[in-house]
Amino acid sequence: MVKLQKLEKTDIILIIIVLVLIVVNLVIYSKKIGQPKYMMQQISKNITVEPEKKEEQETVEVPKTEQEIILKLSTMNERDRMEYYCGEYFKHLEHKEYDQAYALLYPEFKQNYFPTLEEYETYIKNNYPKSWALEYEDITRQGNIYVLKLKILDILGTKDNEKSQRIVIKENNYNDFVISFQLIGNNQESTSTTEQNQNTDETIDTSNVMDNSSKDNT
Amino acid sequence: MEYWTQLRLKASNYVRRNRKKIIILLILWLVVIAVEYYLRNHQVITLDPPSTTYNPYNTVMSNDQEVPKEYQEPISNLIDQYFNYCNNGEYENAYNLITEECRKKNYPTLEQFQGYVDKVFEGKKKIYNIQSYSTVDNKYIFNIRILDDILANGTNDGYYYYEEKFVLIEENGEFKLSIAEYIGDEDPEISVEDDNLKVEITKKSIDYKTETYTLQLTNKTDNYLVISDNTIANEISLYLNGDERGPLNMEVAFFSLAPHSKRTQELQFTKFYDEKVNSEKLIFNKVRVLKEYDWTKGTTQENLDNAIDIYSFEIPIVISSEK
Repeated sequence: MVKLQKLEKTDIILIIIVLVLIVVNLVIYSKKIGQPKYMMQQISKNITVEPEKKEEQETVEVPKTEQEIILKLSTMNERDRMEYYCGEYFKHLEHKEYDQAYALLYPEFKQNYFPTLEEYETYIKNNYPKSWALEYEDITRQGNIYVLKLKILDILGTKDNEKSQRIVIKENNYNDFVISFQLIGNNQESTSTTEQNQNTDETIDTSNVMDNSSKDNT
Repeated sequence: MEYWTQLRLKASNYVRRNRKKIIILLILWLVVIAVEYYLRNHQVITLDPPSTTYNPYNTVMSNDQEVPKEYQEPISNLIDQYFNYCNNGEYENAYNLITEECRKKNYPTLEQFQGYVDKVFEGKKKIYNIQSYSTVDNKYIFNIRILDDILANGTNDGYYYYEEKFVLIEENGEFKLSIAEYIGDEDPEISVEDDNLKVEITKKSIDYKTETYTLQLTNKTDNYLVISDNTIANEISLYLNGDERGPLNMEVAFFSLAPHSKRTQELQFTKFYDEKVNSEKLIFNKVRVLKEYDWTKGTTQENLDNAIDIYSFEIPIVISSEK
């Protein structure tokens, strides 16, 4: 009888150990399964602008993985997505990651203007200020192609060094895009350049229809 | 102490006895962990495609109207095929996609069509985007915007576009393409006459923005008939629902008939195809029956003073098949 009792105790302890292991696994597993939903909630919380909150209370979660970026992009409208893509491109330039920026260029554009990475790198070094800031001026859409007009401000230089540039973006899917741009040079377009006889397309925020679709016959 | 020794012995015995089972369980456990790790890192996120404000099948002129789902793909394919042919210089193939009526009206020969394509495409690869504009009687009118491949040139060749209306005509589930804003022709078979003048409308040609009437006129008198020579206001008008519109074509400035003569005259008026009003009648507001008339001088005061008659002539143009 005593022997039987001892046996049961040992068995019970072993069973408890196994059960604890199972429970620990389940807890870890369930946390990971629920992570994306939790992450989405966190992202939407971070995106909501709440100016009343104190600075220390705000937690800006910068998406790191591809998944996190995609989830973040899926909560944005098209204008914000395009500005994000444009920002990513310029971030590569800022960090001198020319190969990565080059990889984002539309193949035909590369072929037309920068057949080699070296040419592209030289162009960027020669035509962009050493330190710059971007100012988005306008965004228009041609079907599913977006044209962003932005001002490149020379932080260390004078206002005369400001340049205006059009960036063309096509989004294939979230975080999957190609880019091309209007060439700017030291003697090319400045902010004072006018665009005569050029029809710019619909501004995204104003309407979801084409600009020339005004009801001119009514 | 004895207890823990016994427990250890028991456990080692247990493990020895059930070595295979434990190994299998461990392997299973590791497999589960590995699968979970893989799924976590290669999680397939199913999201809707990126949302945009571009909906080419939402009809601009009527926001609550959309091109039927079953027609969207055929329409898109037809337009895409047309542009591919034009971009590749396959003029004949592109020409064959256009309705016979449209070809006959706008581009009777392949060379003429080629001229049109070369002018629009400027010998470059063009991209396009479409927007449903309005729908009338199974005719789907699309606004087509044609522009340089701005992705390929980064807008370095400029940033402008050319627009025109394409009409996709549905017949028995198949679509035909009409370009250059051409809708179609009608044969009104309308004839009106009085003692002086006989007018037959032999053709009504409809573009998206205009209606053009072809008239056959007969002067039945020994006198001159002056219909329009720009000497009096509103000599000719198209009447629709209380609105009167003057002709667009300037040659009607010399619109008169010699005694017992015939002439053919085209009159073109602004009339958008998707307007909710119908054209009701053509009006010759001041038909002058004159003994003498010199078309180089136009109607003089002397002509008016000696006129045999000055009156208004109306031609009803309500056609039974008209919307």
